[in-house]
Order: sequence, then C-alpha cells, then structure tokens
Amino acid sequence: MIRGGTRLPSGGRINRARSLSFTFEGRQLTGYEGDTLASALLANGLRLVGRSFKYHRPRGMLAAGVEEANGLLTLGIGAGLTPNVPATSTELCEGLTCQRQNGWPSVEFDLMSITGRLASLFEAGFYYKTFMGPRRGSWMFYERFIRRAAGLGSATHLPDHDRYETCNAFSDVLVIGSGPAGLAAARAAGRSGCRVTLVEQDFLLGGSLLRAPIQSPDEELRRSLEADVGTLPNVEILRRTTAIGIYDGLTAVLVERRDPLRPDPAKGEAREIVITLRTGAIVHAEGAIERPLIFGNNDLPGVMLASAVRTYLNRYALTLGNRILIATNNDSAWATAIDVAATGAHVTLADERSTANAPLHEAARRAGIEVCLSTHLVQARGGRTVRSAQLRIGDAATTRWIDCDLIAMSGGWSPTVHLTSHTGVRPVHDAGIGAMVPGPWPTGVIGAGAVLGTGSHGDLLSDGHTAGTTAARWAGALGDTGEPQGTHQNWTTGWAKAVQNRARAGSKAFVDFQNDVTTDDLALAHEEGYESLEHLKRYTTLGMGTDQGKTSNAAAAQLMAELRGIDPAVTGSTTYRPPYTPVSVGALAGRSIGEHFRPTRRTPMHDWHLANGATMIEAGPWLRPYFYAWAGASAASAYVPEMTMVRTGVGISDISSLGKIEVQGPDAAEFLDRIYVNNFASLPVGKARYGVMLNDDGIVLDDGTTARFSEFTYFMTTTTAQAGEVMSRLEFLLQTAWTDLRVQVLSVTDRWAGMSVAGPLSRQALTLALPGIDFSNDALPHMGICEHAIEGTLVRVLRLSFSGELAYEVYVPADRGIAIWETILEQAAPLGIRPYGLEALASLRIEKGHVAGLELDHRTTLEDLGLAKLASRKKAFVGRELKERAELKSPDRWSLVGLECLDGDARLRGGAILFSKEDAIQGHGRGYITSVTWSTVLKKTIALALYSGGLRHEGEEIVCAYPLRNEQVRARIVSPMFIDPSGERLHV
Amino acid sequence: MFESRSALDMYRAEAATDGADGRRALRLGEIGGSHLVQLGVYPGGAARVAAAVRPILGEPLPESSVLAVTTSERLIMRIAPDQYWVVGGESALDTRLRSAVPADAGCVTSLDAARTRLLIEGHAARALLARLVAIDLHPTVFPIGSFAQTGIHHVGGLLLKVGEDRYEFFSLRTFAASIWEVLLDAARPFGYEISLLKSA
Repeated sequence: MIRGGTRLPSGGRINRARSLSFTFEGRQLTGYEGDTLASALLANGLRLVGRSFKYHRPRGMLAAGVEEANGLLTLGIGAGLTPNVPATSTELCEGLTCQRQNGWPSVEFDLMSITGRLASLFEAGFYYKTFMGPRRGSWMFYERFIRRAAGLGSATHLPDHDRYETCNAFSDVLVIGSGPAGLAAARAAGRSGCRVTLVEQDFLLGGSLLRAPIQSPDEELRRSLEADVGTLPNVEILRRTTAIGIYDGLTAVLVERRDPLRPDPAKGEAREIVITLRTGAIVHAEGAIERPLIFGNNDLPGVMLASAVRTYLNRYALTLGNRILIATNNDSAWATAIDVAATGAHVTLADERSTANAPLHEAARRAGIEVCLSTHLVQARGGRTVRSAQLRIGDAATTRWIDCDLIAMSGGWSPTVHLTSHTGVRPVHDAGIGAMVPGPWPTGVIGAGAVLGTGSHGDLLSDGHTAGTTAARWAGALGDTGEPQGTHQNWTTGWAKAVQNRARAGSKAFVDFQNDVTTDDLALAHEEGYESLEHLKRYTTLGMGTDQGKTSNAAAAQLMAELRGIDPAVTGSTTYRPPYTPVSVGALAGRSIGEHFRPTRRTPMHDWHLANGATMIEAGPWLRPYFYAWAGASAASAYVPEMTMVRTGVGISDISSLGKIEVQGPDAAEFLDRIYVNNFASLPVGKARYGVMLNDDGIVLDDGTTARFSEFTYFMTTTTAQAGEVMSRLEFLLQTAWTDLRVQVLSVTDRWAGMSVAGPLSRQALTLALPGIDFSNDALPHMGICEHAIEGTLVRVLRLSFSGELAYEVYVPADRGIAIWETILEQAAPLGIRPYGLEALASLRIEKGHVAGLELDHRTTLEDLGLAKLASRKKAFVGRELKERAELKSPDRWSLVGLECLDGDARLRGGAILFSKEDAIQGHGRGYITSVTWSTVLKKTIALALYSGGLRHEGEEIVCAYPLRNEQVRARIVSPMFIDPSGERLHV
Repeated sequence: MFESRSALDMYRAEAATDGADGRRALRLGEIGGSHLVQLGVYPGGAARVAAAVRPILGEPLPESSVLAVTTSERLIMRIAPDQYWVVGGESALDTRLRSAVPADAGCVTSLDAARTRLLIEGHAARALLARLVAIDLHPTVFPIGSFAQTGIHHVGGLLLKVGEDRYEFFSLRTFAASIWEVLLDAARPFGYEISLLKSA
C-alpha cells in the first residue's frame, strides 16, 4: 500500500492517551480521540480512498473538512449502513466500521477503471446522447447498467434501527461558525446579556485557528476566545451541529450529530437531532473554503488543498509527504509550506504571482524552502499517488519536472455563502477574490469574517465583535459588550484572483472532483450552447452530489465566463439551497415514523370495541369499528348479518366521529340561515333538521343534522370527514365577514360520545335501557330531540335515521360513553341487539340513498345530488349566487342515480366508469360508481353513481366498465332510494 | 351511576422507565376529576358577562391572553379575545355560570371530558417539551402561569406552566391516547414515572 501519512511522535490536537479502534474493510486499525476518520486512515497509511464517480480514477483525500469531494466512505454495516459519508468530517469513535466504495471488484484493483481509458466516449451529456434510442423507453433498459457502473456507495434496504429526534430551540442571537470572527461575535453578544446560540459543525471550536500549530499565537487566541465564551452562561455552544438551512422569519434548521457519543437506541438515545431554531438575529461567520488549482491530473491521490495539509499536520500531527510541492496563487499556502518544512520535508513552493510578501519570503528562505515565483503547475503524474509535477515559469515554452509525493495546492478562497443565500438573497461576484460574496443582508442578519470576502475589515476579531454587538442590539439586549480584545488578520492574506486553467492541453484537469467534470466538459457544454450556469450544472452534473460543488462552483463560473467572453459577475452562481451538508432522511422524519407517522383519533368507546371483537379501520385520523367478530371473520362476510340485524331488529353503532358543533347566541338562527341553504330560523325548539351547506362557489361543502335545544342553542352535526373544515369555516365567517353577529361556535366533538341505535326494535331497546326517557312517537316523533339527566349524566337523544329504519342518535359525555353503550347492550339484549360497524353503516345508507363523503366530493351541486328542493328561495345563504352559474345548471352534469346490477352474481365496483350501451368503452365515460353494496333487502348488488343527465335516464341499461380488471357489467339506472321511498319506516 | 372513564385507561399503565443515564427525570400522568367550562362573550356583551361572573369566580376576567389567573379553587384563562376557560373541581360550575350570564351577552358550555389534562413534571420537562412544542419555554419568556395554545404531534392543545418544572397539557380527548404514546416515546431518553392525580 502506498503510504498515506505518518503520525508524528508528538503534537496535534489529539488525545494520545485515548486510543480508539475501528474497522476498515475488515482490518482492525487504531486512531486517537480527536481524530477524524480521514486523519486516522491517513495515519494508518491509506492514500487511495475511493474511485471517482464516472471514470473510476483513483482518488485520495482532497480536504480536511465538509468540502471533501473524494473521501466518501460507507460507514456501518447491516441496518446501520450509511453510504457516501465524508471521512474528513466524521469524528472517529470506538468501534466505527467503514469501507471504500465504487470499485469493482475492489477499490484497490478496479476493473471499472477501464472507463477512464474510454474517457473520450464519456463526455458531458454522454447518457443523453447515447442511451435515448433506438426506441422510446430504451433508457429504462440501459439505466440499470449505467447505475451499476457509475455512482457512489449503495444504501441498505433494511429498516434503520437508530433513533432520530426533532426539537425546537429559541435564542436572541444565532452565531454560525466558531472561527475567530464567530467566537468574537458570540462573546460580544453573550456579554450583552442576551441568549446566544453558537453553532459549530466541528467537534472543536476554532475554525481556521485549528490549522495553526499548537504552539502558536493563533492557538493562544483560540483558547482564550473559547474560555471567554465558555464562561458566559447565556451562550449555548452546540458542537457537532451544522446549520443546514436558513428560512424566513430568522429560522435556522440545525442538525446535531451524536454518533461519536455512541447513542443507544434501546435507551432512547438519538443518533441525530434536527433542531428548528427561531432567533432574533443571525451572525454569519461560516468562513471560506479553499479552491483547488486546475492542472493536468489534479485529482491524483496526494494532491490536496494546502489548508488540508496544514490541518493534518498541526491538528492531527500527520506528515503526508517527504518531497512536497506547494502550488499557490496567494499567500495562505505559504504558511503550509513553512509548517511542513519544519518537519524536515523537502519543500518546493511554486507561486503564480511574480512577487511575494517580503516577510513570508524571508520566513520561507529561513525554512529552507525552494521558492519559485511566476511559476505555475501544468500537470502532475502518478498512478495511485502523485510522483512528479511539471512546472512552467511564466509564459516560457520550457518546463521542468520535479519529483514529489505530495502536492498542496491553493487557488485562493471562496466565502461560504451558502447559508447567506437560502432566503433568496443572491450572492454577488467579487472580482478581487474571484468568488461570490453575500448579497445585501436582510433585516436581522449580518456577517463577520472571511464569509464577507474583501468586505471584511481585515481584523476578524473586530469584525466579529461589531457583528455580535449589532445582532445583540437588534435582539433588544443593551448590556455592555466590551472590547474586541486583540486583533487577528490572517485571512486577508488568502484572497486571490480567480483560478486559471493551467492544464497542459490533452491532460485531464478536473473542476468538479466528485462528479468527474473536467475543463473539457465545460468547453464542450459551451460549444453545445449551454450558456447558463444552471444549465451547465444540469448538463454536466457539476456542483451536484454530496459536496454540492463546494470546491468547484467558483472555478466553473470563472471558466464559463472566460469561454463566453463575459464578466463572471454576469455568469453569477447556481442557486444555493438547503441542506448545506447532507442530512439523514431519518433525522428529517424524527419520531414521526411507524404508528406515529401521524396522530390517531380514538372514539370514547374505542377500548370497548377492541375488547369485543371489532376490527378497526382508519377513517381519516379516526379509528372506527369496521365490523365485529360476532357477524363474521371478514368485512365481506360480516356486514350482511349486521345489516340484516338493523333492517329486522336493532343494532348499535359508534358515531362519535361525527363533527359536533355547539352554535349559541341570540343571532344563532340568523347565522345558521346564512350557512345552510335551507331555513333554520323556523326550526322549533325540540326539533332537528337535515341541512346542507355550500362553499362560496356554490358547490356542496357538507351536510348534517342540526338540532335546536333552546331558543339560542343549536347542536350541529357534520360528516366525519368535513368536521374540521366546517368548524374553520364557521369561525372564519364570524371573525371576518359577520363580526356583528352575536354567536359563539364551539367544537364539542370531543365532549360527546355518539351512538346510533337503529332498527324497527330501536324504540323498545332504548326504552329498556334508558327508562327515564319517553321514547313514544308522541313524545319523540321523527326529527324530535330531547335532553335528560339520567343518574347525573346528561343524555341527548335525536330521533333521526341514516339507515332508513326507525333510529335514534344518543349523545352522552365522552367519559360515560362506554358505560351507556354497555347499558344499552345489556338492557336490550333480549331484543338481540349487537354492535355493527362502518361497513354495514355505509351499506345501509346506500340502500336508503343517503349521500355521504363519496358523493360530497367538492365537485357536486345540490342539483347533482337531488337536493335542489332544499334550497330556500327567500333568504340569502353562502353560495347562493354562484350556484346559479350556467355551467352548474347544465342538464348533462353528472348527477346522482341508483344502479341495479343486471348480471346476476357479477360485481359492481366503486370507481367503475359508466357508458351507455351504445358507447365505445374508452375515455372517461358518462360517469362513475361512487358507492356499492349488496342489498340485503333487494338481494342484488346495488350502487350509487354520478351519471351524465342523472335520472333522465332512469330505466336505461348501461355498462359499468372496470378497466383495471377488464370487467364490464350491465346495470340499470334506478332511483337512488332503493328502500322505503316514502319514509314510512321512519315514522312508526 | 354511569362509570366515568379516562381516555387513557388502557394506555397509562405503562411501567416507569429509566432514562439513558439510569435515572427518571420526568413524572408523567393525568390529572383527573377537574371540570372545564368555556365562557363565550357575544359582541357588545363583555362588560355584562364580566360583571355577572365576578361574584362566582371571585376574580375579574383576565385581560391577558398569555397568563392564567390562578386562585385556590380554579384557573381562568383567556383563550381568545371573546373566550375564557375556567378549570376547577366544582361539578356544577357550568350551571352556576350559565344561570348568571345574561343569555344575550354570553354563553357557557361545559367541556367536561372533552379534554384530557396531562401532567409533565421534572427537571427534564422543558427539554421534553422542546421536542414536542414550538414554544419558547425559557423562564423569562414563559414564566409560571403562562399558557399557550399550541400543538403536539400535529394536534392542537393548550400548554400551561404551573410550576418551575411542572406543566400541564390539555389534549383533545380523542387524541389523548395518541399524544400520550408520543409523550412516553419522547420521554424515553430522560426516564419517567407515571402518576395519576386527582384535581385539587
């Protein structure tokens, strides 16, 4: 194996007293507490960390942070497997398991690297040009092979056993980033007395300061800032936490990663927590990301960002080479050169600029560094690691080769503007640094430090202090924020003009490492007319993937501008969207998984149903009894006995899910008159009335029964499905349109348990069960109501019917629901009463021709449903005007009919498309079946349907087509009231 | 007498559970036996309603819509500009208030059994609630006596702070079992004990 790096005997910010063992492709390796997976792998000598996306070229670590494009590994095994995790931002922990990816049969010996030899075939847009033919749909055939050859790691299909949580948090000031500017901002804001949240994606605070040697003024500054911030109790420091998105209203979404804490899901410990933070002000201090240089074979293992080389040396005590070439276009890489030279390595520094900062030059000379000015790197050579580099001095025709085992490159720095752009603030181009800087700050948002580019004042501590103080003032904190205490100016040395393409013609020079996009791909896209950066992105995939172009976007914009001959400011940038770094899907779901995907609503009798043989079914959020075991083992077998019981005897059904609204006030009658199409002011106390309400557009919103318990008190019921919408609508109208009405509406759905006692024997049943109430026809006629206190329990009875039989709705306080339900069942047992479920309930109403949710589908009118006669002509009501629209008056509208099956045992099916006998069976037909059941009365299958022209076609034979099963069944159009059309059964 | 049942009868008997650190930082439970009345005021009726209920409540109706008025007998919260909740142990409170309030000025509706009153107590109470409600519970923002109409797991409810580490959540009864399960699940890492309380 080619040596990746060597651990120095001392130094670094690692805890050598705590050794951590981990498994890499089956081998037990060790690292130290404080290592990342990347530093631990490098320390164990690994240089080849993966194969590239398209060409399967060998790749090594490029960076030491979240911008890593190459070092993606698959972590974990089995259900805990996570692919494409950057090793550079993975904190090493005991027992970690990882492997490389995208190599076949292995990353070390990858046969798929043949694609690199055939690179000329795999140009930008290759898939689109090659795999779209010869026929439509060919892509589907090729896709599986392509996906196997290209790509990164593979996810597992096993369920994830880890626990994830979501959480809310609040602060006055959010500071993103804990570099010198961020720490200074957090300190200043914290001193003001306000609540500060400091977010750092790393497990150590310090940002760019962590690159400096541990014996250095930078480290002293880092420790002093961390100590200052740490002593402020009102500053909450969130390490290992990434701000992944900024949203409107100064809201940030943070993701806390807890893997290094070894969370145990069995103890309820979360692996990741998504935090929604609402704050009063935001300080952006995300810093900047170093850019690669563009030269031939710039992707060879051993070619790294100069800042990463310095980080690996000073933070992790790793030397990564003995003959090191530093290639740069700015001052910042000189610090890397000086630091690595101190390890005894032979260092050559090639700076594209003709002059250098004099003190740096002197320091380099003293360190024994060979400095070459006006020199740029043309190409590198090597196999699984870099071995030599070709340098060109100025524009000279001659070049020179030098041997090297590590290239540390720096193409300048790009401010990390991602989060500053999330709320729609477009970043603007700064020609001085060849990169984008944040656009105008929205209210409550400010930046500090390197993220500002040359907009920074130069002194990061002063920058951060000012921003922190400003943010605290915005948040209303007036406390003294003190002084910046010292200066820190390292950053001003890192800015550089845009990266130039220095690659020797014919060599492969990468702009986007993760997506294998080269300078040639950009040129080709340009030749083919792709002018917009957004189009370039989609055509070449540049800037996509897990790193989202953190190291490539600036160079791509620059090269695109050069190809087009325009100012890079015109090219702009692609749109930055959350998340800033990848997030586990599990973390976004939090605890809303499995049975807690959404809340469940249980009726007051729920527990009884479960204990007494009910099979439950979801109805919106509700769980309702579907059928009971006494009647059969399945809905199909149980609903017929349950229906028969109601038609011939008596049954009881849980109707607690109906919406129930108390409407009270001197103007309640007027209010209901405006809401319902029919008249309620005339409803006498002690009676109930069926009512229908419309939307503003004249379409039916809902139906239900409303009872008048006193002059000013109405008890409205709605359908289960529309309860929430009706309640919202009533409140909306009272709070906006009719503020003068003396009316209060209150949802009492949860207050009352509801049960329907139905069947010809229902009066006898209730008389046995609730002897204190007179259920006689005189005392309680059809649509009559009453309210009684029985043994201290309030009972409301409404005599009305959904099934078409004599029936009563009984409402009692929810906590007494089971007691009364059981009383009715026990006392009326001699009459054979039993419970019936939703399937029977729905079937009974079909026989009676009552419309329900399947017909009230927000598309039907009163006329469509045969309810036109209900509408009052004397009063105004919501929807009255718009229901008169010509389109809603068309005689050919799909309107309610009944259907009787003519084909014996054949099944009518809900959703079947209806055609006349003469029609060709194609298209949308003339209507469809809404509800179907077997009629226990008629002994045949019947249905409700919406059919063009409705009952004008009564008696006609039609065809019910069900293309999914290739079925066609004959049926006859009949009245939707299959039983008791005159309503005699209701008045017994 | 018809037996009164809690919506959590089948669910709250879960055993106490240790947290990740072996401790139990929470006490979760249901407060039973309290009565809840909603007082509604019609446009133009505020003064008359306030005057009518003052002798019964012993306190003026609160103007604040974020701080509850707490007396030894009951709790009064202004839950909307024209709506108040009165919570207490007196079963006939709705009848007494109804007879006092002029019918053309306001109305009184019992919400007995319509809400399940959940208790969340312990030094992890705020951390637990941060996982469930998007309300800032910092003591400077949400002092004792504060209440907010918010939601847990997409279901609306009223959160009330009754002590330094003690909160109550008034859940819709039909969702209470679901909320309870969510509560226990969220409390898992902190550890909890279950307690059933009778309202004072």
